Amino acid sequence: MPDRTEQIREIARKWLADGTVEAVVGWEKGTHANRTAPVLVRSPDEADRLVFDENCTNNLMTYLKRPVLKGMQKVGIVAKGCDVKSLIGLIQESQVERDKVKILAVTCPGVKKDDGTVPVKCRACEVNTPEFFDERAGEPVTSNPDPNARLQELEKIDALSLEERHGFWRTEFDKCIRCYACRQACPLCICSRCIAEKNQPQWVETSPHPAGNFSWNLIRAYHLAGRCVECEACETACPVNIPLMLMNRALARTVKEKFDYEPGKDPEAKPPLRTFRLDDDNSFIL
Amino acid sequence: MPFMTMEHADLPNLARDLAAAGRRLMLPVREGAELFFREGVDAARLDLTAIPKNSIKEALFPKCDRILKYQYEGREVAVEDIEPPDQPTVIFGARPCDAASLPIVEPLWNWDYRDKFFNQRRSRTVVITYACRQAPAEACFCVSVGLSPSTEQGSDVVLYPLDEKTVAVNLLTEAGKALEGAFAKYRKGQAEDGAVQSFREGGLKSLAHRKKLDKVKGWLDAHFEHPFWEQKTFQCLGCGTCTFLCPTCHCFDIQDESVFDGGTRWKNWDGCQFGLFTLHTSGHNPRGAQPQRYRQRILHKYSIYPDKFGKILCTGCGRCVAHCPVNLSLYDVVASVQELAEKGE
Amino acid sequence: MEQTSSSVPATAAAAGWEPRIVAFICNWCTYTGADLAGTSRMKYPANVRVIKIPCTGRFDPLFMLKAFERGADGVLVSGCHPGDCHYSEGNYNARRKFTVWKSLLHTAGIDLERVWFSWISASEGGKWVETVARFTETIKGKGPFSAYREMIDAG
Repeated sequence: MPDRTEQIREIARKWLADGTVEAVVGWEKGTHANRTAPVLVRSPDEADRLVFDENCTNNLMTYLKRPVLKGMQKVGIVAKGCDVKSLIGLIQESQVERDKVKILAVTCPGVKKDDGTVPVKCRACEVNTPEFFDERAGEPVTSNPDPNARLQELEKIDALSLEERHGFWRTEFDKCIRCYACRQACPLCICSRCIAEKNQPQWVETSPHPAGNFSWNLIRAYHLAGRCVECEACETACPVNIPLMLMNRALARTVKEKFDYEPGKDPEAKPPLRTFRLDDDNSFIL
Repeated sequence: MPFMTMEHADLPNLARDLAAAGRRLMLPVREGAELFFREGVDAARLDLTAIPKNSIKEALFPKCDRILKYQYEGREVAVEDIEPPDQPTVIFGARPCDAASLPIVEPLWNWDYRDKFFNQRRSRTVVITYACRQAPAEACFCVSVGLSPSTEQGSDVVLYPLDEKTVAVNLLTEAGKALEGAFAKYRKGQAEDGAVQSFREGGLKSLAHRKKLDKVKGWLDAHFEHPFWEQKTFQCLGCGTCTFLCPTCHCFDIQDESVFDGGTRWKNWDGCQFGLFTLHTSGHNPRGAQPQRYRQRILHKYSIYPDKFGKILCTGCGRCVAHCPVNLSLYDVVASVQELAEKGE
Repeated sequence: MEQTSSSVPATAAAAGWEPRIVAFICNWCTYTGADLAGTSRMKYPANVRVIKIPCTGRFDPLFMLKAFERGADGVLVSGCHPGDCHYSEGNYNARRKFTVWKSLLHTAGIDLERVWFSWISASEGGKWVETVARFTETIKGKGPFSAYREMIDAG
């Protein structure tokens, strides 16, 4: 039984050879033992650069924003279950046309972070065997999600007093250097001109002082409410280790509780902030 | 000439003594799984077990800096200059690649304009460097840019951890020698030249696998339009991680933050990898695509800056390599350029 | 319009501090209701600064953050009752935005007692007066928004 890497290479080689796609975005071996790097392969012989292992942490969907890929008729993209969820979001929002992308899904038992630990998303994963794909590599993996994994960390924040919670976020956001790695890595940060890049008027101060950082990080979390699929690309990319996923998960919890909605499942679903119910929670409004 | 030695375990105490004398102290401390250079933390937290993720440049060139205040009065503007802090500062536990960044960037901050925000801080800062017995990270490549794991450049004092217990001390500059008293308190013995020399050689040996980059500039100058850039830089996200963690990167943005008729002018870190960095008001962007921006980064560091100031704008600290979220290794890029040049491509 | 008296934190009172309330209110309902309060000569605290938006659907959380950055001690957002929106659905969309934003503020440790939402119709001049008066009292009792001030002054 060929392993995942072999299968991915075979499928990519085939797609590139018969013109199904102009290029395939995947992962290749990185420069260090526990790294892989996103790669664009354009010809069948390059298909052998592709690999898949537990170090394939990056969400490649963020590259679908690239002009070089947008200009292609058809692009192949290797995707874990979590990556597929973000693609579903992109299709839902008409950012990507379904028939321009060939999904080379891969079953995944989980990836490892740089420090060797298992990400929360893998402990909570329900999509080890993606069901939304064009072709799929790898033996099916049974999902065994830990129901507490996603919200466990939130409980610590919930338990803090208001002042303590504010102090916690001040400490974290004060570290922010406004490198925007979070935004660039995120597959769903799709604005051609980010709100932080607009200065007529300047809603979000670009200076990395506490007020500017607070504004930036809150607004980014808000703009992802109901859209974030918790692929953890942002938190993984952050060079100053801000626990961004805590914010994102807190909002995901609210969106689920109040609107009974989970992103990344149905490309036909209406985004929760673009729709409403007559009986939405009104209790907090005077 | 023999070097004074002290015990490794006394380093936090020494750092605390130095801070107690009214100095601002920056030192590497652990936060979770990684180390960061921080100010205003307890010296007892000093951690020298790895190379910190951020660089010391924050002490001299903060990520955001108030430079003046302004107030409209009718048709006039009253400007209040803000003086940079005048507090003596100690950077304790910089790595040689951090310290070496200072003489590299100093000419930049004094080129066509003497930047008091950098200069004032620099003049009040003493750098105590912790040399590397072995390359502290897989990503290190200081030897490739003409430095070494125990280079003295930019340092006032260099500490050589000869083994787990013993640290040899080299007071290099006037500012370093002025701290002799503080160090003498912890003197335990002495070490001969030979011990430090072997230390230096051990460090170099740990990086023997790194390429010399002597042909890089020549190739860069001759291959501006080369498919290499598109092929090699696809994964670059265009974030500022490499730029902001880099000890030598120094671009900044000026922002005026107004509240009605007055405000503050800020000087903030900026980076050439951002999409809008070279966007003109006309709408034209000469570096509108990521490969062009990345090419610029390499060209600036390895060709343009050397042309202007005679030094490579890189100390091989490896932070960009280790922390790029998409593993675009700058070392890998320049080493590939070196290979291309060697092959005559 | 006159000031109402209340118990005020000692230091703030000593400094003669008055809360700064910013209210983002929709043109068609709440603004008209506020106008009605005015033409009816109803009295209420002068602390509120009104910013008119066409509809609560126009409300963007950035407005609130900017208000706090500029020194607001409390922010009120008010519009038409569900079903009465001049643009049919604007306030329904707004309601969802408010839900999400409120939850984010709470997670970030921002005191939600400084952030009020209300539906006030064009004929509810009395409700406008009562809401603003109560909000002003509440903020007076809490004092200046020092957590946000501290964020502005730091850095």
